[in-house]
Amino acid sequence: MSRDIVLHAVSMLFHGREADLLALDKVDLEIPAGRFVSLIGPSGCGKSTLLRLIADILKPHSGRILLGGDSPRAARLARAIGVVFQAPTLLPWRTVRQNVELPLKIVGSAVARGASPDEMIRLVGLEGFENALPHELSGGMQQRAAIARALVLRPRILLLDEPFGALDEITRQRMNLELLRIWAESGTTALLVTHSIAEAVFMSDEVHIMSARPGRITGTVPIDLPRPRDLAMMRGREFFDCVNKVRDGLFGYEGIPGPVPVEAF
Amino acid sequence: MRGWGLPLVSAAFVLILAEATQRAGLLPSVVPAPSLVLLQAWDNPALVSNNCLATLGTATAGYVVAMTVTFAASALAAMLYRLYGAVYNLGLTLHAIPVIAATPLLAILIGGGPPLRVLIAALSCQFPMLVGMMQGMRAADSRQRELMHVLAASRADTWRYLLLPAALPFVFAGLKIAAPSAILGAITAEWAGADRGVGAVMLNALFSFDVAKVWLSVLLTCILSAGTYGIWALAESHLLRWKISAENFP
Amino acid sequence: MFLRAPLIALISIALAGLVWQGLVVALHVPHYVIPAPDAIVAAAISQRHVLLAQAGFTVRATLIGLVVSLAFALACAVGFTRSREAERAALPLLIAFRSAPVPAIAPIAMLFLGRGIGTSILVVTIVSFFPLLVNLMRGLASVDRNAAELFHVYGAGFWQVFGMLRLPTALPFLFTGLRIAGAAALLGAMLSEWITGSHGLGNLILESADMRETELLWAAVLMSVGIAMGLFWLTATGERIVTRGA
Ligand SMILES: Nc1ncnc2c1ncn2[C@@H]1O[C@H](COP(=O)(O)OP(=O)(O)O)[C@@H](O)[C@H]1O
Ligand SMILES: [Mg+2]
Repeated sequence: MSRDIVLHAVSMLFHGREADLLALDKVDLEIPAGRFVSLIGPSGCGKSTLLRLIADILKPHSGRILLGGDSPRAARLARAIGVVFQAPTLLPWRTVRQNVELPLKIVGSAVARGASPDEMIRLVGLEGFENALPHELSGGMQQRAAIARALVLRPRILLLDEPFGALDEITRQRMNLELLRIWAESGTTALLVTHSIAEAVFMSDEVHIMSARPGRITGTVPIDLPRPRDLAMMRGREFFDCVNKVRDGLFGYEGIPGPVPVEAF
Repeated sequence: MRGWGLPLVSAAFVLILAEATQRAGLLPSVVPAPSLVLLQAWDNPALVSNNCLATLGTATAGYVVAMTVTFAASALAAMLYRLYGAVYNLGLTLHAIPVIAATPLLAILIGGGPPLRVLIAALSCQFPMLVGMMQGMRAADSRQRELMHVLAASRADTWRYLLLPAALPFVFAGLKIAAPSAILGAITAEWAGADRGVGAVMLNALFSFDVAKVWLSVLLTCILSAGTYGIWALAESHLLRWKISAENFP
Repeated sequence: MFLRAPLIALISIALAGLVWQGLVVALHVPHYVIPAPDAIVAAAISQRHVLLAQAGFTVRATLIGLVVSLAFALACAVGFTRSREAERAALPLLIAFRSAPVPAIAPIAMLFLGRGIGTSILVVTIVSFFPLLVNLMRGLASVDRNAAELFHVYGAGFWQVFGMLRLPTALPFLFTGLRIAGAAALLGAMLSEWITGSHGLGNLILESADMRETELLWAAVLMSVGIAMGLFWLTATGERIVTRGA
C-alpha cells in the first residue's frame, strides 16, 4: 500500500546570480513504508527543497531518490504522491468539493483507486461545506480541504510542508490530532516538515534534524511513544526526553561542522 | 438592481431641474432643455441610428483587431518568456502615442478612410487588453503550477483546470476597460474627417453651433461607451461569480 | 544625478535620429510619408515662431489647468478628510465626472467657453482632477496609525496633524497623481485644441496634416512628445527631491 522513501547522497545546487548555493549536501535518508516522519530545522536549511525533490518538482543535482523502488518521476506519474503546501493552494474558483475532486478529474478513469470526494471531505471534517468557495472558509478549514485533496487519490506517500504553519496554536493542535487519525486510516507514508519541536515529536515515529549552509541531516531522534497518540502524552516524561533530544540536536552543535550523532548526548 | 435607485432618482431630478430652469430662462443658451435634446433624437431617428451604427462598426472592428493581435502577442510572451518585456513595452509605447499624433501620421500612410479609423480604434483599446491578457497568462502562481505538476496533469488539463480559469478575471478586466476606449478612439478618429459617425455629428454641430445636437452627440458618446462597458460587466458578473464573491467577502 | 536621465534620453534620441535618417535615406522613403530628421529640424527652425507660439499655448493651458485642478483637489481632499459626510455627498458627482471621457467633455466646454484657451484649461482641469484627488486621498489616508494616535495623545489640532503628518505622508502619492494627471492633461489640452480648431499644438498637428506639410507635422508631434517627457521629468525630479527630504 504505502511506499518507502530512500535518499542516497542527494545534493542540490541552486545557481545564484553571484554564487551557487549548496542547498542540500549529500543527504542520506531512509523512511520505511507506512511511517510518519518529521524533518525539523531552521529556516532556509533546505527542508522544502528536500520535499520538492521527493515530489519531483525539482531534480537533484546529484544522488538518487527512490520511492518504493521507483524514481520520483515514475512515482509522480503513477500519482503515488500527495503534497500539502504551507499555503492551502486551493483553486479559488472551485468549491471545496470541486477542489477535492480535481485530482480525480485530472486522472480521469485511468487510475481507479481514488476515494470518493465526499468521503475525503468527511474524513477531514468539512461536511456541510462541500459547496463553499475557498474564501468562505477559515485558514484551518482551507488547509483541511487541501489535505482531503492530497488524499483523494490514496497516495502512497504524503508530503506535508509546514501545513499548519499559518494556523494559531490551538487550531494547530487540533489539526495535528486529526492529521494523525487521517494518516492512520489512510496507511500512507507521511513526511512532515515543521518548525515546531513539540509538533515533530508528537506526530512522528522519527524526527530528522537538519542544519543549514549547507543543508544536511545532522541527527535522527527515534520517538518511541505508543500510538494512537493523545494530548495527555505531551505531559509525560518520555515526551520531554524526546523533545530535549531534538532540541539538543538542533542547538547543541551550533557551528560544529559535519554530522554528529545525537546519541552522543 | 440594488444601488441603482439613488443615481436614477438624482439623474431624474437633475433633468427635471434643467428643464424647468431652462424654460424659466435661467440657464445660458448653451445648455438646452433636455426635452429639446431628446426631441432631436425623436424627430430624426435615422440620424441617431446611422451615426451610432457607423461609430459602433468602426469601434467593433478595431476592438476585434486589437483582441486578435493582443491575444497573439500575449500568447507569444507566455511561450517565450524572454519576449515578455519587449511585448509589454511595445504595447506601452503604442499606448503612449496619443491619438492626436497617430491619426494624421497614419492618415498619410494609409489614407483617411475607414481603415484609418478602425486602426485608431484598435490602437486606442489595445493596451488594457494586452495588460489583462499578459497578467492573466501568468496569474496562476507557482504553488498552483506545482500542484498540477505533482498531479501529473497534461498540458490540456493544466490549461483547462488552472491557467484558463486563473486568467479569466484579468482578461475580462482588460476587455471591459478596453471597450469604451475603442468607442472613444473611433469618435476621435471621426473628428479628423469622417462623414458619418457620432464624432462627425459632434464636429458638424459644433461648427454650426447647433447646441442641442452637440449635447445629443455627447449623450450618444456616453451611452455607447458606458453601454459597451456594461455589456462586459454583465457578462463578467455571470461568468465570474466566484471572483466577485471573493472580492466582496469581508 | 538629476541630469543623468535627461542625458541618457538625449543620447538615445540622437541615436534614434541617426538610425531614422539612415533608414529614410537608404530606403528612399518619400519625404511626404516619413521625412528625414534633418528635414524636420529644418522645418522646425524655419517655422519656429509658429511652433513655439502654439507649443506655448498648449503648455500654458496644461500648466494652468493642472494648477487649478491641484487647488481644487487639495481643497476637496482636506474637506473630505475633515468630514465623511462631505465625501459621501460629493462622491457620486465626482464619479459621474470621472466617467465622462474627453470626447464628451470637450464639446460641452467649447459650447461654454468658445474657441480660446478657456476650453483647453477647463478640459485639462477636469481630466487631471481625478488622478490628483484619488492619490491625495489615498496618501492622506495612509498615515501611520501609531503616529496618528501619538498626535492625538499630544492633543494636536486638525491642521497640526495635517501639516506635520498627513501632508508629508501624502506627498509621494501626490507626485504619483501628478505624473498620471500630467500626461492626461497634455492629451486633454491637445484634444480640445483639435476640436476648437484655432490654437495650440493639437490644432497645428491637424492643420499641417491637412496641408500635407509633413515636416511641420512631425516637428509638432515630436514637440508634443518632448513636452510630455519634460512634464514627466519635472514631476519625477520633484518627487525625488521631496522624497529624499522626507
Ligand atoms: N528556486 C530556488 N532558487 C534559488 N535558491 C533557492 C530556491 N529554492 C530555495 N532556495 C534556497 O535554498 C535554501 C533552502 O531553501 P528551502 O528548502 O526553502 O528552506 P526551508 O524550507 O528549510 O526553509 C534557501 O537558502 C533558499 O534561499
Ligand atoms: Mg520551507
